[in-house]
Amino acid sequence: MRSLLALFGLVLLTGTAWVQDTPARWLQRAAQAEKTLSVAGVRLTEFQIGNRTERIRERFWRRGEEAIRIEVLEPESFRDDVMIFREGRWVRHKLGTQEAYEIPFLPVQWSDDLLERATELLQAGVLSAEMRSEESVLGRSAVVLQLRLERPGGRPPRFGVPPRRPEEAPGPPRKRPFPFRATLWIDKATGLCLKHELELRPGAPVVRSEIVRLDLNPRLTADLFQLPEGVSVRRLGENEYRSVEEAERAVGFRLRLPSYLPAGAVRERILVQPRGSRRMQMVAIRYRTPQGSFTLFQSRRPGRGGEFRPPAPPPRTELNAHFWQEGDYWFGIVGNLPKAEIERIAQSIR
Amino acid sequence: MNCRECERYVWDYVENRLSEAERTAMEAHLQACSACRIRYESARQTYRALHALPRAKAPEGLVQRVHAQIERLPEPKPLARWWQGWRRVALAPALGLTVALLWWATGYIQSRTQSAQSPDNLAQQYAEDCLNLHEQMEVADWAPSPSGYLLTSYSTR
Repeated sequence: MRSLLALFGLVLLTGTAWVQDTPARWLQRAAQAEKTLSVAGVRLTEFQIGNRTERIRERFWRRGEEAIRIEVLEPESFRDDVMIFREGRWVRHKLGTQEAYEIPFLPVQWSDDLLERATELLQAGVLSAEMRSEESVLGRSAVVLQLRLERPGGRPPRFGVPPRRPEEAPGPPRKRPFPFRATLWIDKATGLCLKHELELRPGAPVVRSEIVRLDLNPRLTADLFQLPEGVSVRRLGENEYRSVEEAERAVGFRLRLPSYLPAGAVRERILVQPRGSRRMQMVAIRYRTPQGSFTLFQSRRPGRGGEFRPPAPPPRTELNAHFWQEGDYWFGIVGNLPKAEIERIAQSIR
Repeated sequence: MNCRECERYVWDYVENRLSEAERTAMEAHLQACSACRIRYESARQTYRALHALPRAKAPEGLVQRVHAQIERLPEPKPLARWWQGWRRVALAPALGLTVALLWWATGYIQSRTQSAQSPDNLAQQYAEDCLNLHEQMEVADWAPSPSGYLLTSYSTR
């Protein structure tokens, strides 16, 4: 009789513990699922930027955190784009061609940058979590977890939370500032994150992603995660540059750089975008800091001196910008750093 | 690429005269903008319609009759001779081409006029482009896969 009671107690205890699983525990489960599960399916991601929404539909095959293959289905212009993650790097390949190139930066590492980091921040009291009532996603029961940046006793920080004690870790910030708000739909049975919505700053921009077809434990052959034979891998896309000098040679004018940068700022990308006028190219140099990110824009518009009147930056929540002209050159700095900081960077370029 | 640029280059796109990068930028914009898609569809249909126009078949013996009449005419001046040569060109394609050129020129002149007359708009557009690209790079960071990277790299293809 005693042993029966003990067994009943154990079952009750386990059941209660399961029912009362904390948000942190769900986050840990989700991180574990990301690292270990083999899955395939179709995912729809929406990027809401200003008043525009861009959509990408993609097929994916994933073997835990070891190997991933993505094939873009939509939009049409990116169809046949294949991206493969293996041995710590992403490579992009267009089906039917003999060329591929390495994607110059790693996108968010789902388990490390979001789930594990959220657990840390939650435990540190910087993030608040709310368990909403369960919902059905893909016919599966999902726990809905809403995370929100919050400082105990204070208002939410403006730009996300920098890594803890960055002064002790000089050099590139290892983590991105956490989104202002994140909602996760976590599959109760597997711990897999089936759907998520990230609000990077209050109001905008927003990234929404949902798995719309899911195969658990599919057969994943090795060739899925390999480039076709004979495909050579370049280091960068045509309009991405690793150094300022390379970008200068491409655009044909000298780029100006700030002599002042916020502490911990690192240069992340150099991108050259052709604009509508064929005579004009826009150079974007992106920096990431522990507090946020900013981009320095430079363009040359020959023969248009004296025409540029610095516009009032279009309204964007939590985004500051500064534009100016010097002769034929146009400059702009856009970022989610404080306005004074943006101005200070701009002053150091003039 | 923005709507104004799309309008400017839509005919180049329809006639396949854009570079690879410009074509890709155009396609990315068309994916995102329904108004420009309508404009593109209209241009494409006009282009197809013009190419599909039947060539008028000359009546039997027309050439000989015309030649005979020409023989009877006094020697034309150089300019008139040039015009005579052009009369051989079928009328319908020439008219079609004229309509297309007018359509294109109207849009082109309009956009040039707007650019020249509204420096504020030009600067505002530049600022808007900068903000958009910054935000595209920002969301690309948080995409669940590098697909977000495509948003900022369309010109690399």
